[in-house]
Amino acid sequence: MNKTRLIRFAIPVALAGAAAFFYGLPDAALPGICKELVAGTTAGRQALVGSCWHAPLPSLIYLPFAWALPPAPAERAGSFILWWFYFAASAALLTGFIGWCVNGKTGHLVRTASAGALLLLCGAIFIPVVCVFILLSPFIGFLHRETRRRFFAWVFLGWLPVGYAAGVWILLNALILGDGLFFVRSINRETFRRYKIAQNLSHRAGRLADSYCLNEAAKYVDDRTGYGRIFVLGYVGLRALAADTNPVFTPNLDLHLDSIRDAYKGQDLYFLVPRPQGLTLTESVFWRYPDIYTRGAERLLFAKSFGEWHLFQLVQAPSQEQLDEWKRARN
Amino acid sequence: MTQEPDPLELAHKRPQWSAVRPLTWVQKSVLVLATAALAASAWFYPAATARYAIAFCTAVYVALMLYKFLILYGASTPKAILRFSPEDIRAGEPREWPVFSILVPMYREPETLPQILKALRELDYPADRKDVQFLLEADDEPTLKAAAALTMPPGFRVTHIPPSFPRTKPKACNIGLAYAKGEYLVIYDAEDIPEKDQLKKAVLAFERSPGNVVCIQSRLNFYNATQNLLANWFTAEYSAWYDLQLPGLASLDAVIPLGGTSNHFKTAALRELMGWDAYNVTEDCDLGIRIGRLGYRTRMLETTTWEEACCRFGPWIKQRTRWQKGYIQTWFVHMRNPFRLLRELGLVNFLHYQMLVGGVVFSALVNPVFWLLTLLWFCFQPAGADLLFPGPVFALGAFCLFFGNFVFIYVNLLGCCARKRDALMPSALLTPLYWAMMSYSGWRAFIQFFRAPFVWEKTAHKGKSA
Repeated sequence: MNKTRLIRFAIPVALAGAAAFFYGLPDAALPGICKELVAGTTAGRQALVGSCWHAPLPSLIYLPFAWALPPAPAERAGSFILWWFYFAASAALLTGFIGWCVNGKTGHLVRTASAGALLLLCGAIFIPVVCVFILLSPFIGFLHRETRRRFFAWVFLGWLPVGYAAGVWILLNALILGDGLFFVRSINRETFRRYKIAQNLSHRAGRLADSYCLNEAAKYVDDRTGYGRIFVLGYVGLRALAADTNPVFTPNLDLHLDSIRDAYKGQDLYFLVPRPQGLTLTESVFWRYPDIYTRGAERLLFAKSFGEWHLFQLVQAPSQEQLDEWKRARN
Repeated sequence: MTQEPDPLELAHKRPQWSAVRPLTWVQKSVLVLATAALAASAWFYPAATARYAIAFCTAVYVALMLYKFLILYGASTPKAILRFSPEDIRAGEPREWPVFSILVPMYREPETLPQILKALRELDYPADRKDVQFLLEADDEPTLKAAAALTMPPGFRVTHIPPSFPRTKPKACNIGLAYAKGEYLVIYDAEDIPEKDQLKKAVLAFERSPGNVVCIQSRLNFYNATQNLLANWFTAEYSAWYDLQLPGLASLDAVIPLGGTSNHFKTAALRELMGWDAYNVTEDCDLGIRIGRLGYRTRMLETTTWEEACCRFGPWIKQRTRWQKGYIQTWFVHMRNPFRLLRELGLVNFLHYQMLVGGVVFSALVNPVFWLLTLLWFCFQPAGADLLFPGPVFALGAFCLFFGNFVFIYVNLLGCCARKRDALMPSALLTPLYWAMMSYSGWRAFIQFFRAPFVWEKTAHKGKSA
C-alpha cells in the first residue's frame, strides 16, 4: 500500500473503527423511545426525537426497526446498524478532512461538514471531535493557491451544516423546556461521565431490576383499585417500559400534574418516580418538581418505595361517575 | 413548388404526444372520480383522510429528498459533464466543421437584436458554416424594422413566422427547423450570450458520444446575477440546476428536461422527433422526455450561455407560471398511457420522470399546505394535531422539515460555490422565501392549466446594456 493511500484512506478508516468501538452501543433508552414514537402514546413527542438527553438521529435510524421487528431482534438489528452508522460517519469525517487538506476539492469539504453535522446529531459525546474538525476546515483553504481567496465560501460550506444541526437541536430543546441551552447549563462533566459509565456497564442489569420494581408497583396498585394508572416518569421509565405491555403503565417525559388530572378524570393516578441521580437528575420532571422524589408535590402523597423507585398517589376528589358507582354498590 | 412547413406537425401526426388536448377524456374522468372520492372521504372520514393524505405527502417528500442526494452523488462523478479544453479543440484543427444551424426566436424584443447579432458573429466557428435564422413574427413590426436596419452578415437571415394560433415559441422554432440547413442545430434566446467556443465544443461532444446522444445541453447562467435579491435567488437556483443537478442526471443516464435555450441537436434526429410541441408552453421539457421515449439520450456540456435573469416580481411570477404550467402539461401528456411510457422509458427513467416533472409540480402545490400546518403547530399547538401525524409519519415529517429543507438550501449554496459566485451565498440562505414565490406561481399555473392552457406569458428582456 503506498503512502498516500495509507494517509488518506487506511488510517482514517482505522481511526473511525476505533472511535465507533469507543462510542459503544447506542443509548439504552432508544428502544423505549422508539416504541413510544411508533405507538404515538406519549404527549410531547418532540421530546423523543430531540431532547437534550437523547440525540435525534439515533432515534430516527432505530425507528424503522422498532416499527418492523419485535423488541429483541429490533434491538440487535438497530444496534448493529447504528454502530455501522457511527463508523461510516466518522470515516467520512476523517477521509473528507484529510482529502480537503491534501487536494482542496470542495467535495471533500462538503463531506467533512455533512458527516460532522450527522455525528453531532448522534450525541453530545461527538461534539468535541466534530468541533475541532469543523472549526479548522475553512482555514485549510489557505493551504492551496486556488482556494486561498475564497475563505468566505469555505466558512459557509464548512460551518453551516454543523451550525444548522446544532441550531435544530437547540430549537427542539427550547420547545421542550423553554430553554434552548438548558443542557449546556445543567450537564456538568462529572454527571455526564458517571452516566456514561453507569450506562455502559450496567444498563442490562438495571433494566432487569427496574422491570421487577415495576411489576411490584403494578401489583400494589391492582390490589387497591380497578381504575389505576401508573405514570412512569423520565427516560429511565421509558427504558424500563421498553418490553412491558401492561396497560396500567403510561410513560411520561413531560410532567404536568394539572393537565394529567384533567385528562384522566375518574381514574386513580399513581406516579412512579426514579431516583434523581446522574443524567436523570437533569430531566424536566426534577427541573419542574425538584423535591418530587423525597417529598412529592402538591396533592402527591407518598405510597411506597420499590427499589430505587418511589410511588406517589395523586389525591383528588371522586368524579360523579365514581360517586354514582359507589352509591349503586352500597345499595 | 416547395411545400410549406407544418409547424404543428407533431399535433397533426402524433396528437397523443402533443398538448393540443391538455387532458384526454380518460384523464378527465379519472381526475373527476379521484376528486369526488377524496371529497367524499374527507366528508365522511375527515381525520382518517387527512392522516392518509399527510402520510402520502410525507413519503413523497422523503423520496424527493433521497432523490436529490442521488443526483448530487451523480454530479460528483466524472461522466456527469463533457469537458473540452481549448487544446482539445485546437488538436483537431484544421478540419472541416459541419454546418451549424442557429435559431433565434424573437417577439417584440428589438432592443436585444444588436446584442444577439454581435454574440453570434463573435462565435468562434467558420462564418460560412453558420446558418443563422432570426425567427420573427410577421406582425412584429418593431423587431422587423430593427432587423431591417442592421447589416446581416452572410449566412444570417430573417424568417417570417405567419401569425396563427397558437402563438408560441415552439411553433416558430418548428418553422425554423424546416428551413435549417445544418447537420446540427441550436436554439438561442434573444438576450443570450453564448461562450465563443460553444459550437465547436458541441460538435466535439457529438462526435465523441455514442450515436444515441442526439442532444447536448449547455449550462445556463445569468450576467445580471447581482442586480437584486430576486436575481441572486434565480442565479443560485440556475447554478444548482445546470451545474449540479442536470449533470447529475446525465451521469445517471436519466431523461433530462431540457433548458429553453442552448440545447444543441442533431438536426435529423430532431426532425424524426417532429420538432417541438407547439401547444406545450414548456416545449423544452417535453422534448427532453420525448428524446428519452425514443431511446435517445441527452448529455451536458461544460460551456455556458449567459442570459438575463428576470428580476422583477410580476414578470418572474408570469415566467414561472408558464414553466410550471408546461410541466403540468408535459406530465399529463406523457401519462396518457402510463404503461406505454413505462415500457418506452424503462422503470428507472419512468421514476426519474415522476420525480423530475411530477415532483416539481407536487412540491410547488403542496409546500404551502405543510408550511401552514407547521406554522399553526408552532403558534398554537392545536389539540388533535398528534392524531394527524402517527409516530413514524411524525418522525419522517420532522426529518423532512429540519433536514430536507436544509439540504435543498445547501444545494443552492453548492451551486453558487461551483459557479464561484460566493457573494450570492448569503442570499441563497433566504431561499425559502423564493419557494413561497414558486408555490404562488405553481397554484397560478395549476389554475391556468384548466382555464387557459395555451396562454404564453412572454418574458420581456432588455439586453445586457439596459
